[in-house]
Amino acid sequence: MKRKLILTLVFVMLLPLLGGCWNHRELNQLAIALGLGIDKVGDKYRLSVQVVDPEQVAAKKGGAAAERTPVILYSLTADSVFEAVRKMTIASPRQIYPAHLRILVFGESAARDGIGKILDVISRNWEFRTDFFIIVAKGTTAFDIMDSLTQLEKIPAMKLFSSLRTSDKIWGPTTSVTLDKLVTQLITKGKEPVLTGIQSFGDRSIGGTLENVKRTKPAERLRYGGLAVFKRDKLIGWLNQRDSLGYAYVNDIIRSTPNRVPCSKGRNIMLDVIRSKTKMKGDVVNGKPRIKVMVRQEVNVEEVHCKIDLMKPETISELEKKANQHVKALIEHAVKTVQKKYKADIFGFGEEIHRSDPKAWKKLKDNWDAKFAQLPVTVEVDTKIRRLGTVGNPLIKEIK
Amino acid sequence: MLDRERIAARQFAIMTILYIIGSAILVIPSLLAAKAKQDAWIAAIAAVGIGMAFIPLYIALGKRFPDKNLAQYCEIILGKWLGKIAFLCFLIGFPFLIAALTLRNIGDFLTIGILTRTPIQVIMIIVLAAVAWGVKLGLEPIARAAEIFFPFVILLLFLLLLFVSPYLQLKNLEPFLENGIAPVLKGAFTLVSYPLLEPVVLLMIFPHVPKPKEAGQALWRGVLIGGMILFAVTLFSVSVLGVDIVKGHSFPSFELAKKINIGDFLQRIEALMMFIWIITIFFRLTILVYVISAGLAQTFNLKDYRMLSLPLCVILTVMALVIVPNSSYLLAFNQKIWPLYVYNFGLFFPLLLWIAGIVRRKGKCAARKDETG
Repeated sequence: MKRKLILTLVFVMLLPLLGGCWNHRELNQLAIALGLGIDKVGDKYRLSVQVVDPEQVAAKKGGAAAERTPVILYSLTADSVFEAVRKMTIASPRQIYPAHLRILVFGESAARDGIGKILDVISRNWEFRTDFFIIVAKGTTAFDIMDSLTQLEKIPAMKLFSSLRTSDKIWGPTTSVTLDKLVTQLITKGKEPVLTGIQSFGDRSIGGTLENVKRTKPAERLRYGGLAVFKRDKLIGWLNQRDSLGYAYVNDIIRSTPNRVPCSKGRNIMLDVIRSKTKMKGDVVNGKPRIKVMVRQEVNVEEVHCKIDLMKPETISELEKKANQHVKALIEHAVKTVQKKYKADIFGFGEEIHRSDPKAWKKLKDNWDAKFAQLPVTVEVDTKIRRLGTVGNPLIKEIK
Repeated sequence: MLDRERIAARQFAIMTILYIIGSAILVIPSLLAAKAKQDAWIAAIAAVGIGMAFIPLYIALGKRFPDKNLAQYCEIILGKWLGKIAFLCFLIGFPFLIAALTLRNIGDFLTIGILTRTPIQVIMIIVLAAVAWGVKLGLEPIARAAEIFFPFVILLLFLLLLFVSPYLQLKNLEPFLENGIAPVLKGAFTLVSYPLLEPVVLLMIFPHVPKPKEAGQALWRGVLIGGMILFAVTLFSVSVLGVDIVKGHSFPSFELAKKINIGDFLQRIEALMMFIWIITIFFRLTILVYVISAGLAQTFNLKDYRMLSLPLCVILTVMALVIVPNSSYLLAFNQKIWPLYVYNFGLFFPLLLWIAGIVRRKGKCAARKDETG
């Protein structure tokens, strides 16, 4: 009997422990941050955190107009990122909780200054996961990007996240970089990092107000455009859309993208890449490295502007050849631009040389940037046209 | 003298596997990658090969004294007093130290990875409470518990590797043997020292398996399977995360679990995967505390080892806290001191005993009677 009593007592005493964590924080004590923007202001860092307002995000029936914005933007300046996150509490009633972060934006100034220091705290801190996307605000501050409401996706950080992911899937010249990828690229010799740029268009003054999303076309609009080229951890320039697509081809991150191929004078045919695989091969001959890029892709015909006979197999093989040339030119242009303008090996050619000839790489790696600028790169493209869509010959040809 | 506790060979094999995987599964990929870079997986295979070479020695000792444990034949071989002193040195210098380090490991892991504000003492005490209880119940219940939990550990491990397999990038393993064989061997010896030279403490459990021959086979199997699991985890860590990430992280296999994302649906299940580490580390600790308790009881002629478990665990908590001032120290210790230190007790101690046993004609020679009760 006594034993039972003691046991019961022990169990009762153990109960409070079942609650779990030592420093538990309930949901209503957390400010869930979905977007984080970091700018450099002088010597200090300016953090802009987009925090969800749960009440506004929760589905409201009846379509009543929202009274408050779905997110709250806290922004302040401190000497370090860590300090700034903690300091946030002077403005926010709840502690910033970054585990659900979707997007991290570097202001262009911060990116030019170097992102290494900032990434340290983010990869060291246990609350940050590694599955959010990292982007750079092109020609503007991260604050401006964070301070903008969006439509369709109520939470701007979510819109940035989904938009980048979708664009990766079907458009091409963007690249979604997560924390672990970025850190690997920073550490690996022979591969410089690349991040996608985000731009803001239109009237910034009301971007952060509900007015912005009450129109069919918001006053301030966020759009992805071009890749930011880094050397070590510093941003050194931008690639245009065409070269960004070339980058995507070389790095084998194309999942689907339109190819615009000329078919007769001034007229084009649009091909949709449905499958694409790029292989890179490097070797060193007489101490001189060289790279071969081989692309194999399968495409469908999507849009035809010229009067050609698609029913003839010769036309198809003609088109395939043209598509090959198109992609080849695309890649060669991108490589040349980066070699000439930036001398930063964003394609990972050095890494490939390292893999294929580790011994030669040891000699090459010290002055790789200069060698990269001179690197001969040959491109081979093999396009296969698979399907023509639901109709055969071009409509423009059939029109009387 | 010896408790008539009996465990099946199967249970012994499972305990060996859990003991080998133990805390190593958390840190080994990182330690290997630091030395062998992208060839860490080769180092792991080499290490298993090298590690297996020590097992015949352990088995030879175990078979020489089929119904005695390490503490007992230490006294027989070296004489009563010298034997007791030598064994005490072994106890403190090896299982006790390993137990303290293992405890520290799980404490660090939980406080860095998940429960960041929880005092490390609380975690240690909770883990050790279970350990103390387990040892108090005795070897047989420990063995049975190991048998029950083992399938779950294997299942989860399998799921972990399966779920991250879409992220496998074999090019992360290239270039193959970049700096020649030397770094690979260096890496291999790290793994040999931790944990493949550590099964020597299992000689305390060896005689509890009724048939020495089966016990020997179980030891082989246990070390081989344990080693293979460590190999698989290393291979997956490096080829999924890349050598630079693995090298830089304290607990790469935990990072591996964080990677799991099946269709944006099955994700963030690393807390579930923690079951693997908690269970293996728990059994490693339990086995070690059992070995220390049983060894102490034998050395001081105590009737029962069970009552020693609780005080031992109290001392262990303090040890684990005092022994390592910070994470960098632990890392340096693991990389520089332990790989050399381990040979004292993992190789030379049993080797010395074995040779002395032959010279002094103690124990059974080549003739073995398997039916010893």
